Amino acid sequence: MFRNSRNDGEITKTIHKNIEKNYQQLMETFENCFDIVKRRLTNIEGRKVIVTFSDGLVTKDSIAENVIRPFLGFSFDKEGFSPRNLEDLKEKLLTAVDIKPEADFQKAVTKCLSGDTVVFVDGYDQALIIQTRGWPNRGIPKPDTQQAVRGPKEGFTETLLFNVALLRRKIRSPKLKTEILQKGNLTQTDICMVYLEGAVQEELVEKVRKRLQDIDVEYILESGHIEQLIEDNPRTVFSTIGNNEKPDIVAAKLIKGRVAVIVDGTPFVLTIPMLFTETFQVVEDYYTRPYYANFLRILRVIAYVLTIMLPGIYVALVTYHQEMIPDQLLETLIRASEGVPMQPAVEMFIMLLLYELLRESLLRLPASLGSTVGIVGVLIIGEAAVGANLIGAPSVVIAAMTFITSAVVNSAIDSIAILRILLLVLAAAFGVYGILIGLFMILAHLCTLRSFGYPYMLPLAPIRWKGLKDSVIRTSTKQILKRKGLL
Amino acid sequence: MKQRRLICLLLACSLLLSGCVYNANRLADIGIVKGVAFDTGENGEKYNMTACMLRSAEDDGGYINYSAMGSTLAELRAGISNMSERSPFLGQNDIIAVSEELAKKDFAGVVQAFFASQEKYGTEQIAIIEGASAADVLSYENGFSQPPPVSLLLLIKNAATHSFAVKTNVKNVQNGLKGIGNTALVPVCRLEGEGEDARLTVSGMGVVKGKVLTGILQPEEAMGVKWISGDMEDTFHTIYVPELQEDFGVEIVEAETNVTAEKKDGKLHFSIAIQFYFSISEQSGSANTLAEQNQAYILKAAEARAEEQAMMAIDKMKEWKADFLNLAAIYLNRHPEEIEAYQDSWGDALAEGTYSVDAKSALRFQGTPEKSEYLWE
Repeated sequence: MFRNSRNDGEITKTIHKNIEKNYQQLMETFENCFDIVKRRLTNIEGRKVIVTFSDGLVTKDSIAENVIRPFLGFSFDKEGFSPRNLEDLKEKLLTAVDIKPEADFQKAVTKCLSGDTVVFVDGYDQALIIQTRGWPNRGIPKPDTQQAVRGPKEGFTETLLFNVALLRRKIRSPKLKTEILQKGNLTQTDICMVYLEGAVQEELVEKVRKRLQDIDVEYILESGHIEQLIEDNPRTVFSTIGNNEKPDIVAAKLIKGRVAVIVDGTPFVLTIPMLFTETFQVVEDYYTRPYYANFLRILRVIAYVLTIMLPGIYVALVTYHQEMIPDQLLETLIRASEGVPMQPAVEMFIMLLLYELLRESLLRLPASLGSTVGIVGVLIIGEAAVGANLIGAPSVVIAAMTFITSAVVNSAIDSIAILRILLLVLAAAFGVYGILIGLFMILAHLCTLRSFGYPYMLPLAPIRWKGLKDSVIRTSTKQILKRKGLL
Repeated sequence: MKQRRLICLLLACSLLLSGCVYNANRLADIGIVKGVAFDTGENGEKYNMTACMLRSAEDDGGYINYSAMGSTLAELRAGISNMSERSPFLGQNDIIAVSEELAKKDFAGVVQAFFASQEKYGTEQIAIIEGASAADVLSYENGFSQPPPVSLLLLIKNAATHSFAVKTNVKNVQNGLKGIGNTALVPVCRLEGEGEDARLTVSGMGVVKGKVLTGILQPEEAMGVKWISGDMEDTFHTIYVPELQEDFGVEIVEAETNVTAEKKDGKLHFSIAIQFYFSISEQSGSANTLAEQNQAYILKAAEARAEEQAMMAIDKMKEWKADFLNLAAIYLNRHPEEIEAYQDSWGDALAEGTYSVDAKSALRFQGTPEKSEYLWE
């Protein structure tokens, strides 16, 4: 199991029996923190209690009902109750569901900031940590990045506990293990490692656990932070850790021997290891008949190849290898490029940049403005620029095809954009020969990549026949559903 | 680390050596040439080259012919470039037409120039234009939408597929001229009539020996070449059957030729065995083609025709001492030790040699027997 995260060195205070000292410490620690409530209570016997919680992260009704009310209305003497330690209070007085005593002031503070309620009672050198977490959330949303026509529509949310519950609902087995730890010296972000005992290899679990434990950063706000901190090769353009928004995908991956890492505050759950062939797999593949699913997978592979190579191939052909273009097509291209002032490579480069800018602006702008920008972009690029002979119509067509195909393999969009530019530069300088050299380099690089020790190109290189049953082509559903484990 | 540096260096060297970056062309700067015609030059120049080039959209599209004189391909291209304001691009060139006059003087020079050109690698068609100037065929209005060079190319390809023309291109011609046989076949076209009545036809196969055009095989003789080379599939023929006093239109469905070579009494002897299957597609009379006797007559006539045409080709080969049947490849490849001996006398050896041709054929009907019966009755 995880150990709790280390002390950050700033808070070294202890909990005192004298409640006034504890109150003083709280005031110092939470100076200028208006959201931290430090409620002082005195029960009918005059025993003092401090209830501390972070406003907005708790369920106030629960605190009033299960913490404050029992204290105020309880008489230690009248009931003949003389508690030896806080355990008695926990067992016989408070009605909250989850209560733990805590002797470490720093840990108590962390719990308070996580949404728990901390109760200091006069005469005790321990505090009670009462689970009262509850904050506004947007419910179970429909995922934005992994849309599916057939299959569950629910997606992960920003609350870690909900996300774990979503997985637990899919896999109702005690073998589904969930280990939690906090990382980020300032943020103390909850990170949960989920795996299915028996399906996953123990070495993989150990490796993920160790890498998570070794994280030493000031803050973690998103699973993307974790991804870059624990992957084998952070310098590569390829993503060697998967991220998913849908519980059914993560559940399937857990059954296939992956480890999931859920980070509080983000709906993106990491899955480890990730193989290159996963780029072409979507969850719907498994919900539809294999023929259509395989057809779509092959289309995705073609789309991937086209989206990274099409601009480069176009530039190479029209700049260096005109003899390879069919004569009538060449005639059309020549007619279209007459009067265009720029070289095809420059034209294409500008088109790619414009596309990336357009995509970025559409992502960042509100939906109402986004559609306006989209229309303006399409009109300017598609109509005005071609009409004014600033850009040739073939370049616009190639760019459009590139972007449509890139949308098909949306999960790899970041690497695609870089590889496309790389191949375009090589094609502009060296023609088809440059593209071949570029492809060779990419392929060699892919073969050297590893995801938590697993070759990234598995099951293609090295070849694993069992794994091929669900790679670029998938076999029958029965065979796939019967199998658990990675390969 | 050293290894990585070495690999990077090697990649960088190989990329730079590719020379691509120096060969960049803007599409708007090149003139796409669809066909070129070579005639004898004037005023001391060796060639007069006419190029059929794509016009710019500003000039209403279509194609335009430019002519220039010079002694090398580079000179000719430069001349055309000066006139057209675009660099002629031969990578999409479909055909090279050489006038008969020039072919008789220096055919190999033209072939060599284009074979060396790295834009097309010798895959374009080549033809000899009989009688008229070669440039005239690039102005030939065929009544169809395609430009004249494409029309000429289609004409030759069609003749090669269904008739007597032998399939060839610049690379084949160049290879033929390199061997000990030193001979190649080139389709010959003729432009008959003038203006709107002009008609372009494939009139025969030119035999180029050494560097020049030696003679022109007539269609019957050219057909003999195809029989011997076994390239008869999908060709159409008309056979007259004297016993039935009828013409039959036939299509060769399958054909195979086996040539064996040996020495008899110090002379070369070639045995040519032709086996082919054909189907009857039409007939001028009403003879029952299902009758066994009639079929035997048709087969006999077809075989006699094949043997006759093959012998016609052999006779021309002996007369011109030109190995356009590529017999050197058959004999000398099996007897390489004799190459030296025949180096300068292969043509004479062929002329003195003896030849036997034996054709065997069979009918092959399409469809089921019932359907065939229905068709022929």
